[in-house]
Amino acid sequence: MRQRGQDIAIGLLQLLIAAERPITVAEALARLGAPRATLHRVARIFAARGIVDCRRRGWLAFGPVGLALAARREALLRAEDQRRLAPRPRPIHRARGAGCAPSPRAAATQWSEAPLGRRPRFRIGFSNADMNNLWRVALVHSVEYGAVKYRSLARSLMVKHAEGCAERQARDIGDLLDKGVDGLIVSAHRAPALAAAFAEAARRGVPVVMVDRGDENAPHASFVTCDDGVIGRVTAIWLAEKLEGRGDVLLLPGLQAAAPARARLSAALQILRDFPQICILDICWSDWRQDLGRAIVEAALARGGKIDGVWCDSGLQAVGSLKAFIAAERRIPPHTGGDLNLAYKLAIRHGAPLAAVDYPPAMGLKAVETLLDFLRGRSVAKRVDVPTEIVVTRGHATTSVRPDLWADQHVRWDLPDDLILASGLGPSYDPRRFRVNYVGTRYNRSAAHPSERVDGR
Amino acid sequence: MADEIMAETAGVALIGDLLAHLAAGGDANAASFAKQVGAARSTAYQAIEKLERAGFVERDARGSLAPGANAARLGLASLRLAALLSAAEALLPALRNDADATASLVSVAKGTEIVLMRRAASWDAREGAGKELEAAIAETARLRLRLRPRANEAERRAAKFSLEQTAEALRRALADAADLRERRAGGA
Repeated sequence: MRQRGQDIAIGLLQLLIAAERPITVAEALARLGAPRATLHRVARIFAARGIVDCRRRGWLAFGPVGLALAARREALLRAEDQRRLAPRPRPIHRARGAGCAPSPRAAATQWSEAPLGRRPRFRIGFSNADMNNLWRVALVHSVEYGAVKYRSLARSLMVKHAEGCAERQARDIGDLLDKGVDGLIVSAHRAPALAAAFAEAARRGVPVVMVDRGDENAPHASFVTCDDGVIGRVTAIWLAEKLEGRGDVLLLPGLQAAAPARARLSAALQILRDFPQICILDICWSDWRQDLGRAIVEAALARGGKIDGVWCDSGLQAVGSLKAFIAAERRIPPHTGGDLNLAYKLAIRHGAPLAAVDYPPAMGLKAVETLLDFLRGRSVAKRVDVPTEIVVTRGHATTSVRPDLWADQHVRWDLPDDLILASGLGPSYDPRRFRVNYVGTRYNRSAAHPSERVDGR
Repeated sequence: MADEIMAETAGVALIGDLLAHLAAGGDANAASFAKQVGAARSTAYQAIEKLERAGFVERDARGSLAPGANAARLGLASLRLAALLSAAEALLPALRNDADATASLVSVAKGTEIVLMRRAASWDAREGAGKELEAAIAETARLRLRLRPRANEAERRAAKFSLEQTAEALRRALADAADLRERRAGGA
């Protein structure tokens, strides 16, 4: 009897929410199939507590408690949001009326409706595409940091690296599902090849948050990334303006198999098409490797050709190019590509003009937050773009591209060359000394370490 | 029969007490709440679980109770804005990040303004108010962006673009819910 009364009480609240207006007692009786006496008792009890308002005869309206509950939830979510909010140095400044300023980005307009929340703590699985460069080390560190920062919500974290093999990544995801993870974070090597794995996760009710690389058509709760189009466009505009619209440029995009690299290149090419006197000498995929970037530029220099600018989508390969110019004792032309501490150090030390839009590994932490929110029953944006900054070496701003930070404000002379900036891990983050302790790791060892294997040197 | 009625009344009162307690800002877990209202712990647990399954209550890892999404929807439903809850909770932080501005959802019903949701930009507590942009979501709801004091024209344009896109998404959420209600009413 007690149970039935409670069911009717909850049913009445649900009815009011669905109707969004006061309802008649007759309507409530018909919809709930409740005995009249029970409904009256429920209404009287709720009215005494301000949950419903029965003052108008034959009607059930909203009491003041509903708005107070909404305000209380909002206060809790607002406090949580403020705790997470990372300070940003300055907004992106673009020149007034600049003809080729990047167009405004599309805002997030879709969201994933969370199923009813479950009670924490959750087991998280992270399937990482590969570990072949330093940026990916920082991404793993960022995810691990998230698992520790939110240890009151995350019971454990399991990390698997697919070493750049889509089949292996599909197996990794299956393995994580079999181990009973509550939610998955996936940085996909080749998202279409993971369709079956994503479908299996959906079948088991395990939400997937994609990070860095993914497929917006696959079933997923959210895709946490950074706008690759902006990275490609802003750096290409800067390079073209720095060269005053004419010159021979070499394009060194990252990994051909990775969607972000293709998106950045495509955006850069679109911009460069507007500068007919800029000649693209070659487009060479560098796999985001320093050694490959250096070999490509050394070969180009050996051919004796003129290189007026080098466009890179990341400092991972830009460092190789900068080193090739330094070794050849040639004047370093304008370069693009940041992320890596060494890229900024070399550019400043050798007076090379450089512009970059860092691709923030902090998206790993954001992916953890998004997944935990979804698991707790909170709706999340279908796409989350992690904020980033435009960084330019001092004195090299152009008409359209003005920096949020000068490179000398961004560089960390006190930290190692292989530090990836914008990790969101705080000012003292050092990838070589990073220690982390969570259920799923042993002896405080991270699942990723910047070894020679990933340096690409 | 009288015992059954008493048990039913006590069960419903427990639910009412819990919702009123949470609305008043009361911090509790199941055990302390049971003690406070003089109910058996198992009885309180059962009621809380029922409310949790229905989305009216959330519990964190330590068992602390908080209003769930449906509890907030009950409040928004009184303003005819219940359908906005999920969309606004998901999209307001994204709008704030895109525009680097403080984003708010405001109810303007009956001449009274109520800030239903607010996601503040990281500079908001330090710097003064800049220009405000507004988009109508419904007759009684507005989406607002408060820009940084020295925001330039390009930033204002970009912020307005993001604001309009998010407002359109929220309007769509309301329209979809209205359609659903109409279909249900037709079906009934």
